[in-house]
Amino acid sequence: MKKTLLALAAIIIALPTAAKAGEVGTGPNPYTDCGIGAALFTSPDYHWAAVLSNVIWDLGTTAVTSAVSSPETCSKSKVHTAALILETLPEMEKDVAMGEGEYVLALAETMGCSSTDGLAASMRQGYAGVVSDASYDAKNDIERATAMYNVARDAAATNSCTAVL
Amino acid sequence: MYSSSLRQLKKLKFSKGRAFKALPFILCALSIAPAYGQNIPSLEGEFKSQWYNLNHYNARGTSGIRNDDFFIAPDGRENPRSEYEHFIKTLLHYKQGNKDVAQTLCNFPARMTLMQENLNWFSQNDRPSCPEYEQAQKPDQIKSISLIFASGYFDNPSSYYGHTLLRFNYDDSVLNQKTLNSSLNYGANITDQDGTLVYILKGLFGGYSARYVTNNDFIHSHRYTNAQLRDLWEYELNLTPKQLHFVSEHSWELKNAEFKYYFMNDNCAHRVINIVERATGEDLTKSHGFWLMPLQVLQETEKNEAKLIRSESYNPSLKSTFSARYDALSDNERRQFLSFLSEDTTVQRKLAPQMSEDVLLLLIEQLDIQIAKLSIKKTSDRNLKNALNAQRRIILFELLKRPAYSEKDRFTPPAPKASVLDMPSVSVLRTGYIRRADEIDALNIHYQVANNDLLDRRQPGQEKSRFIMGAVNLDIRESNQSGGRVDVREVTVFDIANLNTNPLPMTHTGEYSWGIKFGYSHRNEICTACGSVSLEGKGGKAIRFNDHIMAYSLNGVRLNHRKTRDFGYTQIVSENGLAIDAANARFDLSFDATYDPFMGEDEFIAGAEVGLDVGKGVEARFGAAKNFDGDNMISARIGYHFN
Repeated sequence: MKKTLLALAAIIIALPTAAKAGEVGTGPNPYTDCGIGAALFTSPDYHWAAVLSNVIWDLGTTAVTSAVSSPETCSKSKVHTAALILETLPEMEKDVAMGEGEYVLALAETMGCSSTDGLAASMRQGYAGVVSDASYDAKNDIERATAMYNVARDAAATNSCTAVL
Repeated sequence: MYSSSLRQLKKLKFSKGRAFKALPFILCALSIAPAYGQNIPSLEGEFKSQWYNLNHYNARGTSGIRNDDFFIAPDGRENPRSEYEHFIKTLLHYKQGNKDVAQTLCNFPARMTLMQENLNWFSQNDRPSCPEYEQAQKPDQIKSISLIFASGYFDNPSSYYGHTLLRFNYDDSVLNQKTLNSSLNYGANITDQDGTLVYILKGLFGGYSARYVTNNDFIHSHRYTNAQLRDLWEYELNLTPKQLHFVSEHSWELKNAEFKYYFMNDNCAHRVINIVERATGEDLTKSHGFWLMPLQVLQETEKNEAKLIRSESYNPSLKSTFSARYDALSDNERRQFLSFLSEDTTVQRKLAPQMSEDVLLLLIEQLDIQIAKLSIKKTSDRNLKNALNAQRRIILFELLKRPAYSEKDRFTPPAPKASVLDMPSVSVLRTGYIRRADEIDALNIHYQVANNDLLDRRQPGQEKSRFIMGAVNLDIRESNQSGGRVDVREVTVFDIANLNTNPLPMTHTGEYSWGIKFGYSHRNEICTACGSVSLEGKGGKAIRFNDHIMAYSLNGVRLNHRKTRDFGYTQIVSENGLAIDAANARFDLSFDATYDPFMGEDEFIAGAEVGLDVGKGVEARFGAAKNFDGDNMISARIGYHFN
């Protein structure tokens, strides 16, 4: 009985996460479920006074740490990939649109892909669908990063990349 | 051996109070010592220096590391001997087979190396396995270390001092280097809870704690170059393998250390190079004053006899890349580029298919700079950002429709116009002849802590600006009484003019100029006995015609603490000029006006001044000014820049 109750409680707790996971495909959304978005937008980096100290905090650090502490939901490679995309989104979009560049190369390395060319080609195809949607204009950074992440994850799957996303 | 260890332990000098605290250690050490026949060197001479160096102890034995939990001994922060004893005890415990202390030892790889070099019973094989350190730092694969300098932050002179950090460069055996946390940064721990004034005061007077953090170098560099539009300069350091090893191990230890942050001298520049200083034993933080700036550190590192800088490389900001990309366009492409920006999205959709990839890429970078500037200025104008994104979407969509496009062999990233290392040192002492109104001849002495005025050479990648933090200007002249007389002309606390020009035919987010000044000063260079403590604020516009010529106009209000020569407490001021940069000279043609609306007084002054480079760190300045009443000023001075 005790075990049944515990299992029931676990299912109830897991439900919201599963629902969110369902929205983006497989697994949790790294930006909403792994703390990266919150880490970015509540960071001191976005306060002007950070300039006073000339410090630029690594926003990914907090997220990576929390991800490491809960590897079942947020794998390290998932968090690294998501952080790279969110932090470098404009350049990443440009590289994907061109089909090459150091940002796509960094993404390929992060996702453990042996070939950049195949990944870039897959991502071009996938991201064209994102950009052709008029709702792109009103998307915020996290929403666009999520779209890019999903495209990258699908491209990684079709290009035999080793990272678990 | 037992008696040898006992003798060594007896050499450890304990105060009466500390003897009790040390008793468990002594008993424990005595019980372990015979088993291994260890020598335990006393904390003296060179060994003591190395121990102090590793733990940032000053001569009085107090560590600059502020957090007690960094140390093993409860009183380790202020008791180097106690910390040493506790560390030895931990080593002995580990050697005895207590593996629980392995993690404690792994927090101190540099300490273990020091002990390895000094204890005959502790060798490489005796070290615990430290997988976290080995995996994160990859110490055996570090090829070199670079000192990175980030130029000033766009539109924020408080960052014009720049920023420094270290980066570990790995050999080719380490794959995926872009994904490594290979840069080591030092900064204050700032929260959003303090107000602006509190931030400034705490930043200046040690109100913030600070620490080292490692970052993903790729993302970190991107933040500087693309999000903040800062150029990066990289200096690969010429370190021996042993020194590299030290930096790797000691920086790992420091990840758990907290310091106090002082904006003026215990800042990123100091703490980052301090690790290199501790590795090399060289003094790289020389400063004649109490301040230390990143540029000083770079210059001292370059000047050092150990020849620590092996090479310099440049990583341009998005803004620099954009300028180079624009310069590479044909006239027709430039017209297309400007035409696109002036149209609405309906027309832009029709124009995009007619454009080359070069123009499309330039357009997207233009939009990205605008978005970056919105972020820098903390503007939360959602509509503007959406409008910029709508334009980006048109270009992205157009590029995605076309075949993949390679920039290889088509575009060369911009090269630096000069080296940061060739910039004059930050402080200057200038002296020479000056004649002001009333035919008064004087010896003028000007001392400026930092950084530059409109006649100084521009830092590469940085816009012309006036950014003076601390200056004193004196006239020494003959007096009717015996001896000379000293007139204090200026005591400047700060004098900033951010001209914010733009060499391109399009603006990004307004590009307004502004200036602020506070201190004691005379109303202008001509008048005598017209000094007051004043606060001045100005706004305006600057236009850059090309890389060499710009015009500026700043207008605002000056508030004085007293009346001076026909002028009251409040004046409207106007500073206008044409600044010309040549290879080894800078010219400033100025026209300034002052109007007191309450007293009805006005004053107009035309002036010209030239600054000439006459040697490394030596400059000559000649100036002349005249007001509409016929009073004038002429000057001829020579200046020496130094750290």
